[in-house]
Amino acid sequence: MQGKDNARARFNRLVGEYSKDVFRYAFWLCHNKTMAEELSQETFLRAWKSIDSLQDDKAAKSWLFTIVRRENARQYERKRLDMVDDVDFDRVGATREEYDTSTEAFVLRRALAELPEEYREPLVLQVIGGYSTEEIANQLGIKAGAVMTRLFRARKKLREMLGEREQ
Amino acid sequence: MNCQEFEQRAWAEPNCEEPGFVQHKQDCPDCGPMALELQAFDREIGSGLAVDCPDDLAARIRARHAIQYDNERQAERGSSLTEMTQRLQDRLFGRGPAWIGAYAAFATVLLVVGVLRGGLSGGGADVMALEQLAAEHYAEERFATKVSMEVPRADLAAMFAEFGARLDGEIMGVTFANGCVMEKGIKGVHLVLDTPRGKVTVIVIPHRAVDSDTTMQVENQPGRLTPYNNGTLALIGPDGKSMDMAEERMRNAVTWL
Repeated sequence: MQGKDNARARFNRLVGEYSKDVFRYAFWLCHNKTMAEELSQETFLRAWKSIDSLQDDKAAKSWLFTIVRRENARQYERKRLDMVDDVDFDRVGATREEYDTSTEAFVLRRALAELPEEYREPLVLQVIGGYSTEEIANQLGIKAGAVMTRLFRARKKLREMLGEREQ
Repeated sequence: MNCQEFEQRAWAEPNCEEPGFVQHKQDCPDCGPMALELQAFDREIGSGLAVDCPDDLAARIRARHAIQYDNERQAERGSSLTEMTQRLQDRLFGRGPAWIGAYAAFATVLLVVGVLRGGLSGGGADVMALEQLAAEHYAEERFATKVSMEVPRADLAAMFAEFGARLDGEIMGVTFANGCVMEKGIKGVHLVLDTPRGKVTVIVIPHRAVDSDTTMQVENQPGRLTPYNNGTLALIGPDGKSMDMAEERMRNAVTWL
């Protein structure tokens, strides 16, 4: 029972520490706030089932992001017929301090949403997750060189898109 | 590292800390400013990606986990929560298929049959509507009295902040907490408090106030509605004393702004 209680305390700590990052990553995977919430909840429930396999809490974020990706793939399979393309930025909470509501930020979010998935995903992992190129490569199951190329192109493309809009 | 290699790297990883990259950034008059500009661009990207997270997400994950944990413990003891409780959980967390409508209908019937009103002092249609609301919510989340979850103070404070109340003190004995949509998108708080006389369900319904204390009975349990600033506190517990204790804790810990 003691072991269970410890695991539970550990789980609660992980929720407190990483639920926001998990939600943000989930949002950029599925583009929908409601689905991101569901995805986040499912991710943590799945994480609970295998919490004993997480040996070092320093690896927790990476471990959770892997679960998010898998769970998103699973849910996408289930729900792809209902998926909408529009990103629901207007419902992501425009009144809170950390959420930049300026026009520039809105334009940037649109541009990010329009980036091809293969470019956006490593960029999100790098910027939100703080991962190194090697870590992203492990997450995505591709070579580090390919990650570098995608990140390079992601920023170039983003800059290009923002430049076009400014003109 | 030459300029071409540096540029490739800077666009891929502007905050790279490898010695060769850092050295080139310091030494090269052309590449240094470019790297700084890309770092600034990265901060912009960071703010663009910073989609805001619902305040109560962690609380909801913990609530759902508490139920799962409880189920696991029940299963270990060779039993499980009833099918009804499982359905109620699914309804709460929005994961139910087609039977949801049927369950909603069932809950409504349960209200009509189950809410036996006691000696009322408040009266009026609005009181009845609030009784119904409290009883319906209690029925929908009946499992809440069966779980025991740790609720961090910050999560609890965020639930009250949703409708302009501030958590100043400690609410003692919280075993369940969830920020729930009561009606028409209005968020309230659903708590279960453990008292020496048993568990008391406390439902804070903001923006709809009763004039005075009103007793009610919900599923054979005593309950009451009591004015709570600009809202109503619905209490359902084993007896009047336990509800008094819960009410006192709520009044001592929460300040309305």
